[in-house]
Amino acid sequence: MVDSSRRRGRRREVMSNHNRCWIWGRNVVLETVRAGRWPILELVVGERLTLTLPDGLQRLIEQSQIPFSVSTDDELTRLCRSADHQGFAARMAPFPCLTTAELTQRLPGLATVVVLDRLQDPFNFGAIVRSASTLGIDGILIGEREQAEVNSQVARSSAGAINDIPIARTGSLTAGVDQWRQSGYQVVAASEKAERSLFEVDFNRSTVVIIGNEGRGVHPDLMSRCDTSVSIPMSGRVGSLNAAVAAGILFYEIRRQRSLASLAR
Amino acid sequence: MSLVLRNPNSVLAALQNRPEDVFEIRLAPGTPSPKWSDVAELARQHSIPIRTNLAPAERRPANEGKSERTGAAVALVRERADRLVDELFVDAAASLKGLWLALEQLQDPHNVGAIFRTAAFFGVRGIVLTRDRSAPISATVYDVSSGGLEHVPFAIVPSLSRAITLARESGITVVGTSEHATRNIDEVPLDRPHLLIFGNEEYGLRRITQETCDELVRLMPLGPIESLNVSVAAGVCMSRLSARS
Repeated sequence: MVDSSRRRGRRREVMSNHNRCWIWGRNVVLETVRAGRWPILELVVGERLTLTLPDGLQRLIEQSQIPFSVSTDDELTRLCRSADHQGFAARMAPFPCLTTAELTQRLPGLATVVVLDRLQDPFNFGAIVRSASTLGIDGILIGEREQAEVNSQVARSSAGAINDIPIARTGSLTAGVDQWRQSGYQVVAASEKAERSLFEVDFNRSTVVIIGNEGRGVHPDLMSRCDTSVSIPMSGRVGSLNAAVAAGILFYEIRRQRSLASLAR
Repeated sequence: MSLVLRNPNSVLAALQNRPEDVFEIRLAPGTPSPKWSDVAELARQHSIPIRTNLAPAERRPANEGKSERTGAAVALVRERADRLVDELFVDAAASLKGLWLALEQLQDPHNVGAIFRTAAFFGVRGIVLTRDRSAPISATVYDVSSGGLEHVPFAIVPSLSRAITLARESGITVVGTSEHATRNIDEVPLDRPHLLIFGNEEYGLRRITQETCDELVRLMPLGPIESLNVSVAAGVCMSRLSARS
């Protein structure tokens, strides 16, 4: 009994490790090589591509000393367990998250930081990273428990944007939020049960935005540290928003308000 | 054809809207989650068979299913019938506002599902989808829409050109989205109904479609629309139109 369950557990672990450590697809792999932030253990390129490697990539690979090999499409498909690799696959080391202090050092004077509180879906996580990067969010803080890791799926959903925005990881989200609060940030939670509409909040000051777990929302310990909570007003009769869409609408509003303010100046 | 739905929210919405199309509920052994208990309760009221799945559930391939709410319980549900595109705009002429969407060759079922979910939230009146080179309305689309697909009527068309003509004849202004547009979404006048069109994840709107739009908009002065995921861009557009009205 014990033995068989242990064996089952181990098998699952190997599979998930496997899924975690390969990224694939032309854009995601090339952007990751170019950004030079996430350590690549091994780069495999399809044989039909070696004649047409993008300009400078060969040099970049040589400079970064990434072990590089050429393989067949079938072998690439086997490595990443997906046929949509477009001839590019890379085996990755764990993603190098910053500490809260390192993230804080990189923040500009008027900053927006996004805190993800136990976000579990890698599609949502990746989509939020992509929107955050596009809409000018300055950094993302994630926790260590019950949180989707930065893995291959997140990299793909983010369309490579994990290379563009600082991401920090901490054992205590509350400590991070407290620290930013003390340096004058307003703290805003996104919540379906919020009393205020998103459009009533002034975002022309440094802001921490907290986005909660898909099912349970923002943890009470974090909620108690918020200056306010906001929701997106519903104009239909039914339904709710997906966490990634809601986050995108929120980031857009912050960006919109700041664009208008800078145009007015 | 029947679909195998795994998100209890999408099953609940189907049960509320069209219980006659729900054939069977299959629960996992043991106590169902609160959401699936609601499903079972409603199914019982409509005398829909409820079985307990004894065999281990088939798992969706790792890169297809979302990790949330895809447990072992499922429901067998008939596909929702699509409408004729004419029907979709039928009462538009009488209304001074209202929003319709058109999706041209969207290929990712997660995007289509997410747009349906957001459309229900913002009270969109109907969605036109292209048939070719587009994600079909699969079980994944239903599940990602989390019930949204039950609340927004939709039509599937070979190309958008006729739908655009019909919309215009019904008094609807046709607005395409493009990163090359000079106007932004906040400049769209609100005193009339709109059909807002979103294009393929990679290529955006086809040139011929752009040329038939009454106007083209982008999201804002500073940012390109196409570097946002299309379901997020669509959500932002719907929220901006809704916020101003």
